[in-house]
Amino acid sequence: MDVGYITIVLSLLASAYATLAYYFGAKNSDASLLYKAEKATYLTAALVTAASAILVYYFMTDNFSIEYVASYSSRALPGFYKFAAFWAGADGSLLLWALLISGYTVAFLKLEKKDVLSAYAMATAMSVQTFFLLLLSTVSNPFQQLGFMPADGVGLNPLLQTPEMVAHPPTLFIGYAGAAVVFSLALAGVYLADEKWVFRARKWIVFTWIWLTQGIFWGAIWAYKVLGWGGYWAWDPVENSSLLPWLTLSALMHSVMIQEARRGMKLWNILLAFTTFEFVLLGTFITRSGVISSVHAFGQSSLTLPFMLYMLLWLILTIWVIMEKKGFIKSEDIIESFASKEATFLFNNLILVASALTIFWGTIFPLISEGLTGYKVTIGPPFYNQVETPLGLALIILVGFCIAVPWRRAYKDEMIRRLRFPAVAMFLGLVAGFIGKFGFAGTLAAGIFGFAFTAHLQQYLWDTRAFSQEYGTSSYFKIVLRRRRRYGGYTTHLGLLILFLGIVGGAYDEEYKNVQLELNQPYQIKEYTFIYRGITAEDSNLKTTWRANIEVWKEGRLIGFMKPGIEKYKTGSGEETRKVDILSEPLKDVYLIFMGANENAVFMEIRINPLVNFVWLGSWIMTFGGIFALIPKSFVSRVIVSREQEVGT
Amino acid sequence: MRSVSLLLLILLLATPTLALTVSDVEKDVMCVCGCGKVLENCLCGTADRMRDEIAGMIAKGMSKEQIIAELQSMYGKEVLVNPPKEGVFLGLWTYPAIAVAVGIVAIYIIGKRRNTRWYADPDEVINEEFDETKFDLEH
Repeated sequence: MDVGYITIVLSLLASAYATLAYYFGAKNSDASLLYKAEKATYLTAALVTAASAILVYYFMTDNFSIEYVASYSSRALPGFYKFAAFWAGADGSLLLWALLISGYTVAFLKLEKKDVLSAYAMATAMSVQTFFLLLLSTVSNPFQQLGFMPADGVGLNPLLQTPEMVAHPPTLFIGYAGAAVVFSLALAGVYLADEKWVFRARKWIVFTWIWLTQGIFWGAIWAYKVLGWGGYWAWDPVENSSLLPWLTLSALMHSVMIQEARRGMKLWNILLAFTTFEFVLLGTFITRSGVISSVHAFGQSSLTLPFMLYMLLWLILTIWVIMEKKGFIKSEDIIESFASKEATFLFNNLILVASALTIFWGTIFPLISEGLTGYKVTIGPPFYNQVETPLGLALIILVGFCIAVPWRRAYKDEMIRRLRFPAVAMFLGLVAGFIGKFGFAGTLAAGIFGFAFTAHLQQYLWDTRAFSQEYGTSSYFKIVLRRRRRYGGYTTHLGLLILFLGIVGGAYDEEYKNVQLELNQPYQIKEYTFIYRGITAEDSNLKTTWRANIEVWKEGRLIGFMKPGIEKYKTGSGEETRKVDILSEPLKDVYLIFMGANENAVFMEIRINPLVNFVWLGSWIMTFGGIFALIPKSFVSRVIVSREQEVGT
Repeated sequence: MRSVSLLLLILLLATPTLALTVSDVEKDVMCVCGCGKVLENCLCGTADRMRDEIAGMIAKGMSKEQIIAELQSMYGKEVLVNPPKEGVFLGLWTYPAIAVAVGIVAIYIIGKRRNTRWYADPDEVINEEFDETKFDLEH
């Protein structure tokens, strides 16, 4: 029996013990049992870390007697990708999950107050850990031995041999595992009828949201740079499954504020936390089970039944807890007026959740149609575009409204004062869209962007002036640090608006052509001229690469050399992949896909993609906004005090 | 205010529409080579042939709906990127509208209940950091 497997089994025992010890320790107010539970949590984390280190060691040392290593690595694979092959299949991904939950549980013990709420939350979190460790020790053992040592491994799927794919699964899974913590706190809070869970969960919600955003970002950039079809989002089932928890968590991030302010939305918030958790389970399951065909799905396994049962189990348990705590769940009323921030939050929750449910519906519909008709229907981008476009536009309008409208209520004159400049900006955006011939939706999008952006700018200036008077300081630095949650939120919204511009730009001004570029002959598309200068070939133990050398000129000036390639791998089944090349300008990407060649020409797909950089920039700004909102008070106090001392001296 | 709304409406309605192109159609049909890709994302020979067929139909003056119907008669319903809006597939299309409608009704009902209390601005709470002792005393 492999030492890695023994480590997994031991960690399963420790984790199961911790789960029970937390539960009974909290139930019986047994401090010594809770102390043991804590020790078992640290032991679980240490054992899972050790198991992960053993698996990495097997990959780095080409131990192909382990089936998982033989399936996803090869001798010629660069060390960087041998490390990343850890999470290339289902078994390693589940181990990554377990490792990340270990990190969260240890962080939770370090950061949270040790009370009954924390104990019940830890019992839930450790039960999730136990589930994953149970899978790892039964149906999804990454240390399964082949019984012999093959000369070489099958190798890693070439599509996964990119830096973006090294980043994508861990970032997304950090978010996924975080959703388990959020749900654990929510369930414990409702079980104990303790309002404090929303205050405690806030930082975990934002932290999880940051990583989900990053995970989606890396997945999108990988699709754009590696898959080579020219875009970054195709409403693929796996893409959808990463977006689902992001949408519901975004809704929760707003609705917990209503619970803080009004003690309302209690049922809704537990349901959102539950749904987010179920969606991350679904995401893990879809990506690694192969139950729905997808360009992002890697691996086939026997995970379907355990995951379905586990999701069902949490559904039953959550409903039971809600029914048991009906009295607590009964929320107080939350609205004084529809002209209030609370109302805009209700509407944004409606849109976010309706989007999530629609995407969920489209994602699982192929399975439903197969069950009903025997025909596994395709649900392609038109369905999602048709349904999500109006929802997305409405959401961006609401982003503007929810910033412009105050808490509690705004009277007519106040509303006019707050909305007049955004309304003017909206009008100017519509005029610009009309003059620029953006099309109907493009024109509408320009107007909506103008409205939401101006609402933010205006509120930003007003708030800064008001806080400056309130704090008696003109230091912008101190103001934004003190009000980091608010300014973090504004920054995140700004990122969303820039992302929105990027999406709209791509949807309404993209151009692509399949062309034959003759040797040394110029070919013009839009403002760009392309000249093919010949092919180069590179050979290594892993693959042979052919690259077309293309000069790109713009307005009589050489702006770059592009080298799109075709790679033929020597491992596995000899896969052939396209290596796109992208020449990125601030407002446009030139995107080349090498399709083939003859003696004097190459066949090339050329795409001119506008505003793609806005998508990446928006994602980073959103991430930064989340990080800013999470800055701890101790740090803020220290910084402010030290600056005051500097000024004093 | 009304004149401004009217002007906005005119601007939106007056936005120019473009003639039908192959790109408009190929995003709604699958390539039939078996690759599982939407036609606009497929670059194989079969995809090129299908694009030529679509271009020919556009040249004959056929509408997008007519072209898609023609392609369906040629290649079967598997050519559709999305299922038809009929039979059991109708549920796919009606569900989002139902979800939004139910949500709007729920918000209307919630919005009519106004017996509410104000506890704290959530933005203020973080500036004081949530003080559990204070919370326990108050509630």
